[in-house]
Amino acid sequence: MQMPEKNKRSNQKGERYRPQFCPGKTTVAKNRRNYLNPDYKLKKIRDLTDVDITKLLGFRAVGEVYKSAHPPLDETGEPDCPIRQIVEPTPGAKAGDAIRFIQFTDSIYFAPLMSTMRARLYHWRFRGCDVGALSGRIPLEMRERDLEAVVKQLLETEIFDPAVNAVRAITVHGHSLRLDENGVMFDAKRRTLYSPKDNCVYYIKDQWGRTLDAPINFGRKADEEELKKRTCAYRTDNVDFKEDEGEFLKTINGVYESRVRGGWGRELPAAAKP
Amino acid sequence: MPNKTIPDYVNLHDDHGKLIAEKVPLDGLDPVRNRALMKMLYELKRTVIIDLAKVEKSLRTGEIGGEYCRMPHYAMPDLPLLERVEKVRERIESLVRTSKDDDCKVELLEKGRQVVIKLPRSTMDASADYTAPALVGGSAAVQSIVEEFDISPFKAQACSSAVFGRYPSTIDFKGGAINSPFGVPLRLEHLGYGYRTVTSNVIVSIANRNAMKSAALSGCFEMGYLVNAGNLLGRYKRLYLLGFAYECLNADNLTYDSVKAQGKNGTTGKVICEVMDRAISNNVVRKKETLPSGFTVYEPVDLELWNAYAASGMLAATMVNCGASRCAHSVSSVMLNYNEMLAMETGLPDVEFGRAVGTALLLDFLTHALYGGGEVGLMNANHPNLKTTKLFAMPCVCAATALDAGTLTYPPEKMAGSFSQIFKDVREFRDPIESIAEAALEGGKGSG
Repeated sequence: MQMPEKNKRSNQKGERYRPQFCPGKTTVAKNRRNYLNPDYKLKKIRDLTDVDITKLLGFRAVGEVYKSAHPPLDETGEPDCPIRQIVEPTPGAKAGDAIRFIQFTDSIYFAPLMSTMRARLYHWRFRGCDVGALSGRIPLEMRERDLEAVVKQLLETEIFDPAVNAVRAITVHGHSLRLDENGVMFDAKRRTLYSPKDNCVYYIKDQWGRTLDAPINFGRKADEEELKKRTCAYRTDNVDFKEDEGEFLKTINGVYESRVRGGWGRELPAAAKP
Repeated sequence: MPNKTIPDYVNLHDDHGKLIAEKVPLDGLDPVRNRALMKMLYELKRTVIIDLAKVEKSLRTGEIGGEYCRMPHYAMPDLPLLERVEKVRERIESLVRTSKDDDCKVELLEKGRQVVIKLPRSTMDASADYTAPALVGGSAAVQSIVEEFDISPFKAQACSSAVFGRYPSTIDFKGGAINSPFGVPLRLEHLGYGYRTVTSNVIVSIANRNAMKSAALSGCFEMGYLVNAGNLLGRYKRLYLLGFAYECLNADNLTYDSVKAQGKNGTTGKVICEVMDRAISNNVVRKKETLPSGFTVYEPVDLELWNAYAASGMLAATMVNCGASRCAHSVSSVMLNYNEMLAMETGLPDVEFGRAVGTALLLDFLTHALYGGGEVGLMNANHPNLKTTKLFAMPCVCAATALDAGTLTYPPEKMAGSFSQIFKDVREFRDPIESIAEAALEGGKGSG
């Protein structure tokens, strides 16, 4: 039975619940809210071709068919499960694509996006994603053609800067190291090449560190002032967390107080109340 | 204290979202008051499968007790076990049955390649723990083979090793032919964890890959554990009963509605919005404070009911994300980020007050080859990781396994396919939500 219509709305005006993403008044908090919000269109700042993406991921040759983990769903049919009937499979799942990944390393020096926010961004915006939980690197696993479809969005828009964000399948070290003299993050495999002539960063190797036949131009790297405006990480030398601390602590305190109360299973005794 | 303005009755819906029982008393979902739940626990506990094909192969080749154990001098190359399985079955039944009209069952499966043994109630009542089916069934199989083929005393030991594997040199039946839904007691993480040893693959196999039923069955075994381990008592009883109703039995159709609304285009985040929509409109949570930035902090009106809503959303998010990719592996990522996003989004507590998020984080490492571990389908709640969340994590893992289309190396069909056959006549396993709802309406009345 469907629930009565009134139950499907948050208030009497019939408005749906609007996601808030995170508290805070600073530009960092605003950036977080923008990046996480699936209704916010990320600003495109560079163009990459499908061929560039395929080469960078390095899982198949350009034009090669997608490798499959199982036959297409149309051929195998599906078990009798009502949930499968109401959950639409992604194109990659329909075709039975193998699971592939892209992995990012994001510098602590004003990278627009970093691991924790990436995980939330993926789960707000993408279907069928599998995100790793690490601090210095973060893999995103998906069916191969689904992955290629979302990678463009991740690399072409304001959430990626080629100097401080990097695509690295292996040998990811560098996120917490000081930037080099050109403001580029350390990479033991030297996948990127900074050209002072045009201030552009080129990928000369794919995410595995295998040399590409032609470099991929990721465009101009942003200067530090611009990165400071685009970043969603708090830092004492940019937007200090103290500026938003009050709001965050109120939110987190609520969570923790309820956790303790729930774990205790009763109203807390007076002595345990804050 | 529980909020008394919200009555503890739930409307249960089946896996198609159809209302099947109204005003089901919450107390009736307690396994000790629900005959359907008791039947499921009992049926599972008394069942074991002996793989006769494996016994024959072991005896034919002399590879007894698994890898590295080759003993050709023990081999019996001409033992036609599979040709005379019916006679072996009859012998096993005569040994296991305690009276003419008891509920013992001994049946052949897979064209006689396996025999399923369900012990009678009297034997189970006399047993101290749940190992009786494996030991009684195994011993009956050994004796039946020895007698049927008139095997000499010098080679009879090989029959025992072919059935029991290296046990008792090992603590489990390593390399043997005993296929039990349970793990052995010596592998329990804590006392009372017997029902938690059932793997995700077994549960999905019993549920015939139906995601909602997999979650329901998983919840049933977790409830069995909660009773066994003394967790379904007093102050925590309502928390787990509500969680069971909303996450595993589709109470108020919350799970199904959320999945249906987000099935085509939804993401984990959008499922959170669905849950919040319902929680606010049903007065489960309320606004606590609006901060200067405009961010609203919410607080639970009924903490335990909110936890049940959050758990239902966690399962719905799993179904949406794992269902979209038809791939089980992302369940840990969904559980982790669902809870984190929910807490940071609203200021409300996450599922089981932080336990689910912790479990999910380690599960992510374990299922993605960071710290070893295993595949989603091989997981059970008797795991150093999954044990941490009582009731709430395992249904998500099972639903994800059920929705997988073929990315698993060890899928349910390969690891536990027989279990889809042996319980197909038991209505409680076929239609868990309906059976539990009916039994709850009977058992919960007036029970307090």
